[in-house]
Amino acid sequence: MVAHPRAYYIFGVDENGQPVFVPKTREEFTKAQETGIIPLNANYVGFIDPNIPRLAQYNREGRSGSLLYTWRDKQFPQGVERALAYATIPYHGGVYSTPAGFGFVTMTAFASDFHQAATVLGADISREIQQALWIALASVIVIAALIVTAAWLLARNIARPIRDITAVAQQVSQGDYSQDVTTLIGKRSDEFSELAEAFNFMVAKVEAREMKLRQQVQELKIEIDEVKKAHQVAEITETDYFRSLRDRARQLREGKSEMRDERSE
Amino acid sequence: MMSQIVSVHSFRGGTGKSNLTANLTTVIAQAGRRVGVIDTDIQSPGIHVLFGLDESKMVHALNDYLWGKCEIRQTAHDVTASLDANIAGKVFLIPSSIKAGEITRVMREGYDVGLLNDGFHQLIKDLNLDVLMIDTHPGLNEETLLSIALSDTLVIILRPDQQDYQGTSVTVEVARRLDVPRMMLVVNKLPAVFDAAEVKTRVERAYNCPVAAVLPHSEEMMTLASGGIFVLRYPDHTFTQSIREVATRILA
Repeated sequence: MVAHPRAYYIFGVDENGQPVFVPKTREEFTKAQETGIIPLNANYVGFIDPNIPRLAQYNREGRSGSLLYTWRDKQFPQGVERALAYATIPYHGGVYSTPAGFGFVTMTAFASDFHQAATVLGADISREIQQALWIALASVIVIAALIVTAAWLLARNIARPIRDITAVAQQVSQGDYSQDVTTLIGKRSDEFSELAEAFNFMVAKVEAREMKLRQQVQELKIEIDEVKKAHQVAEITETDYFRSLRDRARQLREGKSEMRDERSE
Repeated sequence: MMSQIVSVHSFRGGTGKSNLTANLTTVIAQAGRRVGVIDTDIQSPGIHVLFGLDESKMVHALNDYLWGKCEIRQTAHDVTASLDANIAGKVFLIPSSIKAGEITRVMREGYDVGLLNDGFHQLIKDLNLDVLMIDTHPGLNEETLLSIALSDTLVIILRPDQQDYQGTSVTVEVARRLDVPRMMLVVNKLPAVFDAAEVKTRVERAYNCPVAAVLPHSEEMMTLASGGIFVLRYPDHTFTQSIREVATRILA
């Protein structure tokens, strides 16, 4: 309500844009009360309401703000928490050019309604927080499961070809060249298929080299030219020196064996 | 035990003959025998290097004996202690002179090959030798033929190549005609591509003569061998084991 002799044209507007009904007589006041509206009793609020003596003080100081007070009437004999927003209408003029005001623009509502937006928002926020927490938790679980699965798949994918290649390497070291790594690993298009191909290539080369060496060993032929040999031998043996040497050697050996015979006797 | 003369021969140079002779000598001495090793490769002596005999300590060489300058026993150098203090037997080295003048004199004038024969027997007697190892000159010249003729055992070293196959066949035939009682072949410097057992069989079949060892060609061996007597420095090496097998055959 507006309580000001000059600024009487200030009026309140509800959430639908309709002017707020302000009772000006007791009848109007009682009638408003009956429709569930609790008008602010200007008389009470003015300067003497025992519930809110601070308001008069605030008005003199020209302040604006909000406060809580307890409302009691027939409907609420136990009293009800009301919220009051107030704005001092300042004098601004003449001898009254002081911070103090002349009455207020005020608005009242049930304290619970006044806080409703905040309560709803608070509930919304905690619901949002809860929801976000759940989403985060679920995400962590799902991501962890994905990572574990991926790691397992990757490990299997890498470990198996390595084991296969190792097995074939061992076979090759035993001289078994029959196993083909590329068919063992299967169709892939990664570094492993390249490795398998390189490995196969190496095995083929090693096998070829071994075959060649085996052939070489077999090719070790000792060729002796018998005609040439006979000629070379004759050159040596058909000399007087050789003949005499042979005779002397025979004599010496006979002498030696005689010595041997003597010793053994 | 009867003393025996063992000639180590190869048709061509560079077969590792001196090396094998030095290592065989050492192994036989380790078995407690008194071994003389005589370098008759007068034209290109070398075995003294393997035994670490300093040229300045070479008082008399085989050449001095052949020119009648000294007795054969004076040419013998006891190198046992310088090899290894733990050798049970003895090693006497009879080196050839490495002086250029002495070498050219031998090549120019020759010498009485008969003296070698007397020298060998005198050495065995004087030094009470169990084994006299003769490191011969490659090829089949007169002193080599004499060494072979006097040998109880002839060890012929060959490399697995065509030239050595042919030359070895001539040596084996000549040695047979000289009634050498025992002959054995050692295949040296076998390239890794060949199978040792296969080579042994083939060589034995080709010459109708036992193969005492097939020694692989190894760069590692070549490098190590130049530093002295291989069997002393690497007693557990497969090469050393092969040398021991050859020595066992010789002493059998």
